[in-house]
Amino acid sequence: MPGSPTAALVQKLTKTNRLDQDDILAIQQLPIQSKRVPAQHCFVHDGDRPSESCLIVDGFAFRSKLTPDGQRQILSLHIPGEIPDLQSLHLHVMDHDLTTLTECTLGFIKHEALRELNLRRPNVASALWRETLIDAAIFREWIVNVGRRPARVRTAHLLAELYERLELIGRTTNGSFELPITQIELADCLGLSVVHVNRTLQELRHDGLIATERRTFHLLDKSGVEEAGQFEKIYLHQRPAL
Amino acid sequence: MPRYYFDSRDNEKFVSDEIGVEVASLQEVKTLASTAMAELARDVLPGSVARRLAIEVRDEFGLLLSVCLRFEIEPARQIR
Repeated sequence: MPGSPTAALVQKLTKTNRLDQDDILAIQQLPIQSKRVPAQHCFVHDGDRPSESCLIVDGFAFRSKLTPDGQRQILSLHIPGEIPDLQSLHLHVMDHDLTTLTECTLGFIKHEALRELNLRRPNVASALWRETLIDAAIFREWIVNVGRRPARVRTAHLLAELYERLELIGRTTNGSFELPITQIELADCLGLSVVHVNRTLQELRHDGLIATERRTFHLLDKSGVEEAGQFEKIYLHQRPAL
Repeated sequence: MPRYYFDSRDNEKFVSDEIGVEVASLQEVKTLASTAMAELARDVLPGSVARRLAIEVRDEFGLLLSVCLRFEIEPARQIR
């Protein structure tokens, strides 16, 4: 599905923001350097001082932190059209790692180019600001998820959220989405052991809510999954701001 | 790495692990089973009165070990 790098960004931004033709044109003219990056590659490190931000054109990536004893917590999952290190435009030192979950096409955008775009097109600046606010809203929900929800609710919530986010960018089909995630990565997203996550997935399958294949999750009963996950999609703020 | 399967029992309810996990050493198998037990207990014990939980680890040769937990609330005196 990888088109031009800016197409992924325009698709995402125009779903959640109101941008006019000149805004879109300005985004399309952004100088972006595309790179194909293998899976499991840490492309921005904790402590780095980046001079560019990184758009996911195709594939999945995640933010994570490691505890001193080597336990990893995945903090967020990122999908095409997102710029997970957009904050490095204003926060100059990275405070977490960014890693590809799958093989990705990444689009590197120089901070100067983003600053210039923001000054020239205030609508685009607002849209990018709004994206970081939605990102923060997703984090708040993630904290509730790993902090307060039992495994079954936690797992169902994550699947329901990913479905909604991927549906918005046209990456779902008939209740299914592709997410090539390993057992360990899913466990690190949920803050649980691989064994407990497998057990929980087995229960969700047994109850007829989901089916899983190697890289595909099928939500057989989407509203059942949302109910099991106590999922309310308001926090995703998917409608354009007025 | 050998693959191990972690079946679980919660009173009479049995959940079979059909996926399994690759684990490097027996010590890690024990740690993983214990962690999974702690997580299961955290999910199901609150609100319970009596519960028997078990995680039974299988490998290609059959049952390898079990981690068991018996939970009871024992009143020490008459409670209204």
